[in-house]
Amino acid sequence: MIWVLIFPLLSSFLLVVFGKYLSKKIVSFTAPLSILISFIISLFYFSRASEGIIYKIYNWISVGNLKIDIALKWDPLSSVMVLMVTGVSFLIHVYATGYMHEDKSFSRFFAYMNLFTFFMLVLVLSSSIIMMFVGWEGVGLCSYLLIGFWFEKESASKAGMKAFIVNRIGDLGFLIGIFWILYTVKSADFDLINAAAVSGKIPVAIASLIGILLFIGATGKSAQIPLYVWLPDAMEGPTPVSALIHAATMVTAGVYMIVRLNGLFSVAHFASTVVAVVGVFTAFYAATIAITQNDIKKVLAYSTISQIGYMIFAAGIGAYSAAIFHLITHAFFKALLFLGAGSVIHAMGGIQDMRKMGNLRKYMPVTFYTFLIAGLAISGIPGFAGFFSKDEILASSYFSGHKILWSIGVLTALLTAFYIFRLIFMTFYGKERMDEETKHHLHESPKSMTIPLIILAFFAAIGGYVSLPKFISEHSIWEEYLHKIIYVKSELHFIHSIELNLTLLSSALAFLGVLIAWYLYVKKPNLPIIISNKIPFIYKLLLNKYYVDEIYEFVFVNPFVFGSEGIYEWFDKPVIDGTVNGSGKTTLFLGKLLSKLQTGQIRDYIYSILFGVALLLTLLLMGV
Amino acid sequence: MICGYSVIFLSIVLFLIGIAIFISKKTFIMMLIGAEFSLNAINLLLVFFSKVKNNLDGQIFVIFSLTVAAIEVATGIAIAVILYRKHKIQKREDLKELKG
Repeated sequence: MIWVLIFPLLSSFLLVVFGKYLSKKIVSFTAPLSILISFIISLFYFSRASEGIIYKIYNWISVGNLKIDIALKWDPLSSVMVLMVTGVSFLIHVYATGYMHEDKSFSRFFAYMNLFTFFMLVLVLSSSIIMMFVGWEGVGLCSYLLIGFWFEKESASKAGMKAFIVNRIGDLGFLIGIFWILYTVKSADFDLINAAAVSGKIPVAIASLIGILLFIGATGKSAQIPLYVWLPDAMEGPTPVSALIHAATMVTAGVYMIVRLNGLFSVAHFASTVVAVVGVFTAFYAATIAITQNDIKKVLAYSTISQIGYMIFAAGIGAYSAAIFHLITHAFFKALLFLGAGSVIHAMGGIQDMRKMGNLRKYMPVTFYTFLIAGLAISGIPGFAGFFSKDEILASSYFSGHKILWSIGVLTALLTAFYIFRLIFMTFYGKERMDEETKHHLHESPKSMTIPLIILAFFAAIGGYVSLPKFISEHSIWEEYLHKIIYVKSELHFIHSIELNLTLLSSALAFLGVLIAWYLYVKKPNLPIIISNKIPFIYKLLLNKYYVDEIYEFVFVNPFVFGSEGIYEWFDKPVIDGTVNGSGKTTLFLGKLLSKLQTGQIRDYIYSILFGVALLLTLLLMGV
Repeated sequence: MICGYSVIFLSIVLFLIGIAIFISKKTFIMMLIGAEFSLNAINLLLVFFSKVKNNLDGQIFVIFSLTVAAIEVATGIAIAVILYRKHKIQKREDLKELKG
């Protein structure tokens, strides 16, 4: 079982050490191969996971009665995640061999990607929260390295640092939560934590506090309000990175963590409510920003934030299997959207502004059709993966009594359909707005890039059929598979007739969103500008992302920088520098004093030797 | 049998003469001679005591000590000669490069 982890790590190590000497051909062979092997191994274990296997590697920490093992936990939840991580990661690796082919740091890129996959597997396979934290930080590190991959660009290295620092803020909360768990439960094992919470050993108030602290960590990693600001900037990284780390895998770690600790969260009602409210509000908020963005990757970034908002919302209302379901379908269609966008950017020679694109479906049909499937999936058009998972979340929220949150969620579904089809219509339809030279270079991407697109499109289309709506079938393969890992089973009763109406409503809204986008961007392309001129205040507010970056800059960053400068001036310089320099100066001064003894005159040395001998002899003879 | 005290006395006198030369003379050659004086005074003492005690260890030790002394003198004189040749230094007062 441990081989799942070893292959990506080994490949990453080889690429780091010998990467300079390997040809691009070998690198583009070994890096995806290592992930493929992991994928095959995880397929093999997938069927056996329902019993829940624990593979103990060794005893890591043993202090008093606290024992923490390095152990892998292979239960339904982790096996689904591992399969998704290795599968999507493999496809993106293959894609990247085509996309990054011109890059001079080819092997470094794959070394980081492999390392990322390793840490992600550590995160999902860990059996204790401490080991999970190792993976959690590891993927953060790889994310930082890969966002700043083109570190020659100042904006890229700044974006990397922003991601790292914002995540540290979240991790502070996460760490305090972990320590509190260790203090109250005296164990870091997920099973024991959940069992202790469910049996009432953790008081509800404390469980809520722990839940909120852990959720602060999740808001950092999964880009929720208030710590989402790093994700749009993270689009500075290469597009395969955005697809793998900032869409499919790493950013869903927060959702995974909440579902993993579902025993704790289902006891902590207050924390769960906070999670649900933050989640649905983030979903709506990010969707409104996505409407006005013109950078193709920025739209997708806000869309990712919005979709993760849905997952967090689902986790908050106790629909854990729905949260993971949406996580998996989202991984397929969002990875596909990013890879498709990457294919477009590749063809456009690095241009990301959608206002300079248009009518690309004529030039790149494969990219267009796969992108369209992903677009249909994310908008929740019936029949595609996103429809099933999103509807399950919305239905669960409706039947669990969160009517207000449900209505926000439905409204977001409309916005989602609108912004994603705005993107499709601006990019693939309409007039060709690029300049002649770019137009001349337009071409379909190579096979290594289109084949992963086709495979992902296949899953984005059919991935949803593992869990059908309740009014069609009461039995869902998905829920039955994940049944074992959920501690407090929800007793929601889905009334079929209402659920059918809800589904019809959200499908109608999705179609409406597509229709509005079609009307505004294909039928009457001048209309959007007229509308934005009519309501300049709202348009500007959305275009500038509610000025949140500026507010953070003013409220948090500037006082911090100012305070740090003050401390530097009034404490560091006199006290710390003073101490260090002072000790050096004292030594120098003493040395100068002592060096006066060395006169350079041999006579003086002889006299001092004689004097010493005489003194010793006298003392000896006197019998002292 | 020689009188024990006279030998001890002789070697003490020789030793002190050596030290006196070492301190008072200014040239390196003379200082080396002084050092040899005191060294040999000690050797004499060792041989004498070895004879008295009927133990050959002392005399064997003297052989070693003489060997070392020979090497020491050879190096010492070589240094003195080079100092003279290169820097025209004969007297110890002129050699004060190591002043702190």
